[in-house]
Amino acid sequence: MPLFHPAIVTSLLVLGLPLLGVVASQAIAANECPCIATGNSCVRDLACEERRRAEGQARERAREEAEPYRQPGRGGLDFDGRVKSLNPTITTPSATPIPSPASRPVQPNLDVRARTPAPRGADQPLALPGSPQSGKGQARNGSPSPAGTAPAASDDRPPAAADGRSPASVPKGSERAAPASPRLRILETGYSHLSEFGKEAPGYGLYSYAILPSDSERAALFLAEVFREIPAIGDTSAQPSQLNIFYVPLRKDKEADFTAMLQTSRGDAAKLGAEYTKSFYDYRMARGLLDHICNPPDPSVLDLCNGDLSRGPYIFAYASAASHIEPVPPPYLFVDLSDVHERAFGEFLAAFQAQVKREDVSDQAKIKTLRLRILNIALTAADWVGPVQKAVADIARSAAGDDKK
Amino acid sequence: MKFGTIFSVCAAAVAVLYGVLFSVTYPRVEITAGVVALCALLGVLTCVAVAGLWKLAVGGKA
Repeated sequence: MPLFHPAIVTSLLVLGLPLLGVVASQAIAANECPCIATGNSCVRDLACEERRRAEGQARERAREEAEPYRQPGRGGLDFDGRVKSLNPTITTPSATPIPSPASRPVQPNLDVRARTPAPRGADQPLALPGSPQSGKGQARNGSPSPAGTAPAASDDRPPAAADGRSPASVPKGSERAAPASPRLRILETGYSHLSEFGKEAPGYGLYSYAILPSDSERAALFLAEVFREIPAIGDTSAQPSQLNIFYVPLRKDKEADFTAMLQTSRGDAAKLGAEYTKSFYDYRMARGLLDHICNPPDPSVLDLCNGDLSRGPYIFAYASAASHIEPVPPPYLFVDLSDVHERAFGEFLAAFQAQVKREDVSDQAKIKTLRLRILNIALTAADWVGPVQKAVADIARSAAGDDKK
Repeated sequence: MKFGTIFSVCAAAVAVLYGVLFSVTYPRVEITAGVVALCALLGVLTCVAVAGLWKLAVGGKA
């Protein structure tokens, strides 16, 4: 068996090296401290870990000092569970009672319009950003306002800057908000259409946007998966403050045509996705959203914003309606699916829906996983295997033909 | 039984196992011809690796 040993070495290399690479990168990502090699084993570098922990705490302290807006109880935008005053658009369940699903009228399957949250009564104020909280009695301009008056929906803006931005760089309308209640857990995601900048329905727990820079096959497949995996917002049963509304930009002049198309497509997600990207998707609005995120960019998306941003698709999730905020202050969840295989979109969308249910929405813990990375590699490899197989078969056939001659 | 026969059967079994694991781990992903071919290839490679290790561990003594 002289040929057997090279075969063993080759197969071990083929199987082992990618596996080793994936495991190593995952381990490095999980812990920045390298382990200390002692003979055949590897021991954790406790001193390094302690040093990292101290550095992290120092960074945290510095950030808290630099960002008075993000301190707990001051209406910050932090998704993190440590800062419970996350979403200024949300009030406590007791403050904003929403009718139970049973008491709401059943919406038809094809109703994809944003559901308007239940109206707040005079004694149940909606705590919009920059607006008086219940009991505070101070309006944005400092003048007293009658307790319980809900501001207009157009005032739905985040309350504060973050990451040490100077007040000058604070987005328009972003002012310090009064203490807000803890953010409610997101229970469901539903898609809807956004036909104009700043026309998001207020009161939802989280606002997400499907951003497609241009019409392409990938964009069509992505939207098909969106329509397949995510129910319409009208079909969800949770109260709006526990819903993640997933907006798909829609051209304003095509709204009527879209309703007609919905009737004809009859739930065929692939057809719907293809038609939507071709005729209905508002690419101008999508690029506008990207401009909002990247002007100026947060360090977490700096590399992405410095790129051409022409591939996508991207998913952007924020605690409040973000289409009219510029710049959009972090934290937010920005998922770049540019390098993701088209057939993996369904899994990534499922991971996104799981991610928004987490306490810390922005950490991407459910999206940047080994499982999804392996899927991406496997699907890319599968695309390569087919042509190679065919090529080998062609070579074998032609060689056999030559032998016969 | 010949080595080739046992090897082919084992490779097919491992390939099927890989395919099942893939479909369980990623239920939303469609199993295409490319995925099947990849599983088959990985099945063969796994069996080659196992056979090689077996030869090294046991065959060397004989």
